[in-house]
Amino acid sequence: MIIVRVNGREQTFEPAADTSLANMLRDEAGLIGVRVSCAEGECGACTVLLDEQPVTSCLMLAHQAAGREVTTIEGFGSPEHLHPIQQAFIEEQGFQCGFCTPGFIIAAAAFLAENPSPTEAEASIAMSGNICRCGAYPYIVRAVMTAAERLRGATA
Amino acid sequence: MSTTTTEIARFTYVRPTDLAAAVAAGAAAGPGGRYWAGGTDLMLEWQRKQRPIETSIDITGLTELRGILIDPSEIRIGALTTLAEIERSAALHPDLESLAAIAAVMCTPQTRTLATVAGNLCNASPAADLAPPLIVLGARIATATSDGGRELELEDLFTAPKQTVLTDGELLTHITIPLSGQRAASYGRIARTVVDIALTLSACSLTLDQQGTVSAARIAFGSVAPTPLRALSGEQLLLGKTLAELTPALLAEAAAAAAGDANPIDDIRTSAAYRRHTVRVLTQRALAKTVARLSRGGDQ
Amino acid sequence: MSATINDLAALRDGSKTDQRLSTPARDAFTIVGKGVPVKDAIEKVTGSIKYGVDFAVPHMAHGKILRSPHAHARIVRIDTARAEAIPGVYGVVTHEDAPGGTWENAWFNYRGRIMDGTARFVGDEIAAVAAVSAEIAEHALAAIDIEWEILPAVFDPHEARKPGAPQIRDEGNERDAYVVEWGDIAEGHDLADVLVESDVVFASQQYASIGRNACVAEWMNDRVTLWTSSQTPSELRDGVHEAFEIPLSKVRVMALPSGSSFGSWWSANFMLVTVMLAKKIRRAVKIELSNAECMGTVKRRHIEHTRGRMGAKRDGTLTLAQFDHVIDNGAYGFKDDVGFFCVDMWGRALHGDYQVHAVNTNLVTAGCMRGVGDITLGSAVERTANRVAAELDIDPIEFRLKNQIRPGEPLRMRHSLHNMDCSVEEYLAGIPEELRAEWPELFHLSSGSTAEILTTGAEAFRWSERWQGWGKPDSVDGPLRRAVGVGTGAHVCGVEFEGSSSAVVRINGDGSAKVHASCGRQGQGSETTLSQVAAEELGIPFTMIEIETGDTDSCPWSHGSLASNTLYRIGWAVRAAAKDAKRQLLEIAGREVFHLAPDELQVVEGVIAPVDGSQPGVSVEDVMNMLRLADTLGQTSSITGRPATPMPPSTAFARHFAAHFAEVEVDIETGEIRLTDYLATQDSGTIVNPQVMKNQVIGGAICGAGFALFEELHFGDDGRVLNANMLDYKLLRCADFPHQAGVIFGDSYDPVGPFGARGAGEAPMAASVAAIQAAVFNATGVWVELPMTPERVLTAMGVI
Ligand SMILES: Cc1cc2nc3c(=O)[nH]c(=O)nc-3n(C[C@H](O)[C@H](O)[C@H](O)COP(=O)(O)OP(=O)(O)OC[C@H]3O[C@@H](n4cnc5c(N)ncnc54)[C@H](O)[C@@H]3O)c2cc1C
Repeated sequence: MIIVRVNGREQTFEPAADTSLANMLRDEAGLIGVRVSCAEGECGACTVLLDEQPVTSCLMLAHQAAGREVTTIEGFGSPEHLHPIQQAFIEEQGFQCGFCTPGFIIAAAAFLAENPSPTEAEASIAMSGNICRCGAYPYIVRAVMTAAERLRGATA
Repeated sequence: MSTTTTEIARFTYVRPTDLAAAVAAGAAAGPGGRYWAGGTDLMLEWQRKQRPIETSIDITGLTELRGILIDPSEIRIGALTTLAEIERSAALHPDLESLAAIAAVMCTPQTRTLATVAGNLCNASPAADLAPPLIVLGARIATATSDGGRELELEDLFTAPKQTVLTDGELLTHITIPLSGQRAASYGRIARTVVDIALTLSACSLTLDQQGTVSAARIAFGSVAPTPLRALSGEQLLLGKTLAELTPALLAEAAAAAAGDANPIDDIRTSAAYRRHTVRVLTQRALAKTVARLSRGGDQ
Repeated sequence: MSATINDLAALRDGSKTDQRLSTPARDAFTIVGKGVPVKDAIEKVTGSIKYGVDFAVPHMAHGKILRSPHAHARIVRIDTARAEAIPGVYGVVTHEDAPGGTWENAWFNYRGRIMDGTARFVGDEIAAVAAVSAEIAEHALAAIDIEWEILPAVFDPHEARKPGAPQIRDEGNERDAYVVEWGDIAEGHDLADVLVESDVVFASQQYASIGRNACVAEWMNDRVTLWTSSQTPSELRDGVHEAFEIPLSKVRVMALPSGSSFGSWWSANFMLVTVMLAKKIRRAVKIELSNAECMGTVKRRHIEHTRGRMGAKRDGTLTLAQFDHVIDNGAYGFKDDVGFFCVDMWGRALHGDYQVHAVNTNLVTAGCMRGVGDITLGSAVERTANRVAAELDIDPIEFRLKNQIRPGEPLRMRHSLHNMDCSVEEYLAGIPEELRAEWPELFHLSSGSTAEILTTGAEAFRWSERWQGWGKPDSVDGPLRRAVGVGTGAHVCGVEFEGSSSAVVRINGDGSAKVHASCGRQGQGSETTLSQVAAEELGIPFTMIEIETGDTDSCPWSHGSLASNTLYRIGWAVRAAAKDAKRQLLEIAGREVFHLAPDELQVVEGVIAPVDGSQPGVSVEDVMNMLRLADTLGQTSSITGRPATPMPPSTAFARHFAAHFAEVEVDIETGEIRLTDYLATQDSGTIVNPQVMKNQVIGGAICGAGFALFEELHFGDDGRVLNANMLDYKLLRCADFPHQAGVIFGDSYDPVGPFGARGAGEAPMAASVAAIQAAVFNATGVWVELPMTPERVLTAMGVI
């Protein structure tokens, strides 16, 4: 049995030795916002924060999250109180089908935590760990820039 | 196929918290044991059933094997240092610049948080990106086993695709880069998209002695041979030369000689001919950049 | 268009990128034309939206499919006893359980039985297991024992055409040629001052959907319900009906949103396998595909080979366009054409002859992928036309303005005619006058063209400054060459092949309205744009409109989302249904409340009032409520509207157009290509939602750029897909495409489409491929084969 802090709440799980963190979060915790597409670390749809660092949860053993803090998209904003990054993705329409969107939003959050005032080029590189097959990339970059501005405003 | 077990194959998971326990677990597990670091290679290997695993020894709890230490004679990189940490290490020492720049284009940001230096090297992919830049810095590796350990040149680690000289239960603990004189390093890397395994990679370093002549020259390649490859033929042409003698023509000659050491294959990523050609171009460019750095260093 | 240079500058620097230039004709619209966020935006950014993979029903079993290891083989004996004995296994299905019906995917993207005991590609469905968990089901697959008779296989479409080739299907390997011809080829040849020949091979592109797919099927006695991600709910229902030979009324599809689809998720055989498995074990079953299954066993774009020539007079007039095009259908594709609407776009050529030959091979099934035909044959035509223009030293924009179709001119493709079996006159004679009163002339372009967008785009991109001439870079920096290129694309706005799409609009007792229109939700935003169309027509606020797209029990039949038809064709039906509902509402309100004729009333922002303002308005809700309470004339709680007539045959007159401008930087020593600047222009008639449209346009540009640069399925000698993964099937990432890319919309107004709108999503792909390939030519002086990998660049340049 392992204990993981998921979106701010401690939860216990009994994953098999080879269960991925992504599958545990989806199947056991019901967090469907953890999207699994390629399941090989390329697409980034399954990105979650592990102790504030972004990880592809499809490549991690669930057991490796024991005693740690995991944040999924469900731990970001709610429909009533969207996170500024979520808000910016809506305004700039930084998505189409939406499957990759939670992964992008979490990758953006990790990136902006480290680089609150990025250039567009930096944002574009940072968003390259995820794949958006619909091709919303230019609007994703704009969403990240808009969110950066808001987040800076909020902390100033 | 005649027998089917009703059991689904799983491995046993253990998580030692210190080195002694880890190597003991490694020894106990024997050939079915695998050290599990970032798991970014292992998870796929397991899911694709490429190699059976009986025991996974999760070593990410060995915090003593993590981090970069700089002292006057060497840089010491813990085996479990992540690519994300390497990526942010450029400011620590000029020798880490190439390494950091390469780490920054490996995998994706969210896999770099997991992936480790040891995993990249021990996985022994011909395309392991960290191997060539470390080889040109003369990196050595240190290992531990339940009954001791050893040190060896990084370039001697690799024997074949996905194979190393490490024995069952032998654990890579750290990598050391000996610091020496006036050294500069550079690299060139070709990939298809901004996130991709390298189609070809060439790294090189030049060290000048007190007299300003090249006392050490190293060139190493990725993705052009069954293992990361040291290209000795090119290095010979550069030894003993002064900066002024390192003319574009000589660098071109050295690059061509080095490229002659490559032994690439055709695969779905690209052709052997492309790899052979570009490894020469990249080497020539990397050498030119290295010479330029040394010249700038000389000005200061 | 009355754009000023300042407007254009603003468009370029991104500050106004996504707004339309001023269009007085459309100023009266209240919601059409507004870039409102898509309806499911919040669900998408909070991760709560459910795709096929997320759906579950209580107590369901999990299924896995056994796939053929052979490209062509017959099952001699199959023994499932060991698999069935594994604890946790509910049951196994094989071809021996398969129903007898042959089913067809939309537009012949699949034709066959669900399983028939013969494997026709590596990965073909052979058997399936249902168990308590997916893991056990997968484990049990290995316990199915099969004795195979290996059959000879053929992978090359040219080989498959030859007499004596292994036969893949009962119908034979080759479909009848699809021919479009006009004029006299010999004359076109004689008139030409220059003649250019070309021979181009296209590798297969993979949909590479993000999101995979799953299907849940559950039977209730003799009725079945399916939940799966599908763009074509009605067509999927039809497929189940055909395969299982049960009445349509007994099949219910509840289509869920999908990840990026591009045509991947219409109907797929795995969905029918799920239905079969659920029937056998009498319990709900879910089959969830792995990414490798999605990329290696469902569908892909055809491998295509174009050979042809174009000729022109010295003044640039095209005299001849003659192309012979071979496509491979893979194992179960049954198409006889690819949508090659480039034929129409370049239809001013004096004489033309296009032939498509579709052939089956033992490769995974090929089907329609976004931009079908137009990014392949279309880009080959663009490339050939460019070479003609280069020989004549004519600017590519000028050449296109001279040779590309304008509104009112004949469409050469005559797609519907191909399926008609009679002359246009005979066809028209058979249709009541009142039904065709508002039809534009058949087989003549109704509206739009490349002309306006090419001109506007050229100005905004500073084409004349940057263009240095054919094969000439505009800057050289050591090994780096920069150059610009332009490309155009056209595609249909829906095709008629199985009847007319319909829709229902219901006005509820509280003044809200619900649209029922069967289509996809793969990110193209149709749930939003169709709602905007309904809101505009009804006069009910957009926020009061909801839409059901997936439930075939409540939505009337429709083609679904394919062939760029959703807004144009289904949107037409939604508007027609809304008109009908509004007419009923106004009749009642006029009779019961205002004592006026319906045409003296209007609905604005949910309030019904006389047009002349003579009486105060009453809200839709109040009118509905009055009716409900009084139950006057039996009116109760809702009004249902539906189209009064079928939609005009739009294939016969509507196209959408794209013109793209790309700048590339090529490293001529390594062959690497970088996209450094990009401008996309689009003529889709009225832009119902510019936010949605810019994403369609740029998304198409990026998918086209992927095809131009890297995307390519590799097949082994045994026909196996070698790169059914995202490590070696390369998709562009964020930094691979210029993030400052701009979008400009043209200003045409369609006479048939809802509020002047036409289709959108496919022409951008074709234009993108053509523009990037031309830019690379200008940078390097050579035409590089697609995808233009670094290796192919160096090969074309003779470096390696
Ligand atoms: C999406 C994606 C992209 C990638 N891109 C790149 C790329 O661009 N360049 C590149 O080089 N690689 C790339 N990789 C491969 C991989 O991420 C790297 O090789 C990574 O550094 C492996 O580290 P890890 O800690 O995850 O290794 P693990 O998977 O944990 O281990 C890999 C192997 O090393 C062994 N091992 C690990 N640690 C030790 C130790 N201390 N002692 C002995 N043996 C040990 C393991 O037993 C295993 O055999 C990519 C992988 C993915 C999934």
